Amino acid sequence: MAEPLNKKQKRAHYRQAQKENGISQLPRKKFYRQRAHANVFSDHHLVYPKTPDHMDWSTYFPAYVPDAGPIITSQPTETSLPDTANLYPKKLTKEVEVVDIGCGFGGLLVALAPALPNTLLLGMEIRTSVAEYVQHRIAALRTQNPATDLYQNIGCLRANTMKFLPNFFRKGQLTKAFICFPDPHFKHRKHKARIVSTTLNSEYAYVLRPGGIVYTITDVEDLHHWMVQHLEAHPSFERISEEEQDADPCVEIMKTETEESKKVERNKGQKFIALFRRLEDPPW
Amino acid sequence: MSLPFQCLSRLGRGALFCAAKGCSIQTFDLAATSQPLFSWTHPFLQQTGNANQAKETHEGLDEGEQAGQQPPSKRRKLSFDDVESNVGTGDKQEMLDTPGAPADEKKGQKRCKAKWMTPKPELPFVVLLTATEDGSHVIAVTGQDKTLWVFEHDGKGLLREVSQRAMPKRPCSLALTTDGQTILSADKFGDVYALPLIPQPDTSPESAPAPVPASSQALRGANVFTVHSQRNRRALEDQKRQREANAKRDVPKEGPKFAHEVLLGHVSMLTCVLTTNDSQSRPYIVTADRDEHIRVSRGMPQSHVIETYCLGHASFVTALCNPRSTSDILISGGGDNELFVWDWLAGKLLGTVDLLVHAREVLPDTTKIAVVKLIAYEVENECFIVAICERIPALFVFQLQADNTVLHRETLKLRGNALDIASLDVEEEGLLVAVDVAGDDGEVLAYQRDGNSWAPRQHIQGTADAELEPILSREDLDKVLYTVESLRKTGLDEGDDEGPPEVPGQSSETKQNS
Ligand SMILES: C[S@@+](CC[C@H](N)C(=O)[O-])C[C@H]1O[C@@H](n2cnc3c(N)ncnc32)[C@H](O)[C@@H]1O
Repeated sequence: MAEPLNKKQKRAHYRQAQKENGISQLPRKKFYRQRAHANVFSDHHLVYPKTPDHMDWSTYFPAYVPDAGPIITSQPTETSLPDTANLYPKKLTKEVEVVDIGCGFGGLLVALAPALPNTLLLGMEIRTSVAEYVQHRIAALRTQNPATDLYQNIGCLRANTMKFLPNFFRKGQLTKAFICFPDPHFKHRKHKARIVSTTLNSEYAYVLRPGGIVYTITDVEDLHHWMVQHLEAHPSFERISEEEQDADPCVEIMKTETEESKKVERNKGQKFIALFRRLEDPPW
Repeated sequence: MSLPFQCLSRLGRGALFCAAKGCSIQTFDLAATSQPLFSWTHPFLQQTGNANQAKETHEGLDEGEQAGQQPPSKRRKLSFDDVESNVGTGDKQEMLDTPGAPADEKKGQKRCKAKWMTPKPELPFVVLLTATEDGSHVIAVTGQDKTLWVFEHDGKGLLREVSQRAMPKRPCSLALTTDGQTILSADKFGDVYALPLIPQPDTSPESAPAPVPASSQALRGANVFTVHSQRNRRALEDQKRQREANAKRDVPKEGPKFAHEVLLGHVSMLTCVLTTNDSQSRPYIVTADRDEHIRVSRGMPQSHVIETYCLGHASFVTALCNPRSTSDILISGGGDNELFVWDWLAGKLLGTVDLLVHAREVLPDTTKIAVVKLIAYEVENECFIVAICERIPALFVFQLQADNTVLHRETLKLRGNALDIASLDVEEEGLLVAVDVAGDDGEVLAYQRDGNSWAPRQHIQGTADAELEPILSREDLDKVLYTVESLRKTGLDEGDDEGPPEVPGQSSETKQNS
């Protein structure tokens, strides 16, 4: 008896088919939508490495897995000491240096991939289905461009960046962090949920190396002021001048290529941009 | 049966110490008598007499002394109603926003089970107790009213209340800067505040939170140019309506009127804060959270700089300890089966030592442990680490070896669960433990080094000063006293996944860009 499928079943079917039929087709977004806001404070079923050394990047960036030898992925047992190097997953030939925090459906990653061909870029997204969409999208793009290295340098994983950035990245590992059209969290009670705050900025400063850049863009003017205020007030950051900002090719890409920015474009909305440089830590 | 002592702190050098029992703090001198030298009780209980119902006079206390210490104007007017409404609304509301509070629950109802929830009617139990190094001041936190109390100690056991400050969020852990002049208070929202030990009388609130810009300025919402997806448009309308209606309600919660500066913050419930120095005497702040992190930040005034993290715990971290003799070493414990040993400044794990196996020697059915407290206990150039675990009637004594490995030395069994431990700075180094003896009065046991071992030497029995002590059912009492295990992630709190798609059938976005 073929009852009409409900939305959930359709979605499951689609994803199963997607798995079985391989990955040459770009995924369809409507099967990956999810409630707009995930609670950034809750535990979820997040998967994250205990330390950056425990992170196995091989499935995200297979083209950067060193050729020689098998990848040893066994995790250290609870009681052993971590200094036996072979207990860690093998390192990639390159490290991730650019992150897109709350990457949504991945438009920025896809556009930055050819612009920063020698850099590994990672999108981090808290919503499971959305992160999965981006993963499928990247897989499909790679299959569609078999002869090139195109899109081998981008990856996406599900993570709550507000809690677990230091689990993924060592101190000073990153050169760029993008925060594009973050959720505004209008109510005061929700301000602690904002992705930019004075206390959280210390964590961005930790993962960024001196000279590294935080890129922000939003269509919510007040949120723009909020981000500027909080990043400027943080002693580890200084605002980048408008001339320098305009000269940065990543700015144009950020302005036009994220899904949100396209939406804003269609609606003829405004876009507020601000860049901040990570300063050296003061003498201690 | 009286309440057990739940918190302990030494009072400078010597045999003086203080202990909290319910909503009271008592001081003792181990060298003199086992009777309290002095007792302070939260004004809430003083005003209602017995919180339970009895309206008696404060026999156990010297009236004059009490009056002298607490000018009536200073007393907070708390009625039972206040307390209850606080439990009913304020605190529960707060739990929803608490970082790390499992927002498992699909909706409302189950949230009442949120972690670290205290029983109804919630009483202002002393939940944190510490003293300055020199013993000149005692700092306590009462949980229900989130109030931080500072007392001056006359060196002879007498405490004089100097200040009470109601913190914005419930403090979870306290530390003091090396000079003893600044209190660091870590709260369940993940923030660490610095407060002067002695509040300056006329600090205007404006001058208070330093590194936070005028952040309290309201985000007025999207403007007309903001993206207009269906959802956003709806949100925008809602906001507008709300802005008009709630112009009053969504004002930022007014910050405290006293000086308090946010030093750092995690987006996770903080469980422990500790201050220490490196070999060049530069100060650091070490913070631990429910999400397995131990963060090492520079001390004031550079607390915005994160030096490193000590990562490796697989469960919550609740206890940190930093032996004075080997201050480059940090020991940590929490929901994992082991204690972790760190070179904290390098963020390097040096080793782990099994604790569960020893807990099972005490209670064979134990499958998981929750470390409540770790202290270093140094005697004759040897450094011992003493651990207590929730609902395990024992002290676990480890030794930190010269090569920085940690060895189990001894397990001291107790008559009841250990609630707190402290060490005394006396000739033979005394070890104090607060014991919750089921069905009996709580007690504080004092151990002394005896050859290569430890032997209980003294024993202080709590007395049932009924009129100032609330009567709680064992179940309610347990909810106040045993809160650590509830930090464990259950894996049942998905909630946000597979929620409804954000906007069904919004086609404009499904276009592919290739
Ligand atoms: C409004 S969308 C913007 C998406 C994308 N940057 C763009 O411009 O199209 C914000 C995204 O941030 C994600 N997000 C919010 N908080 C997050 C967190 N703590 N960690 C990771 N992602 C988060 C949301 O799930 C959402 O997809």
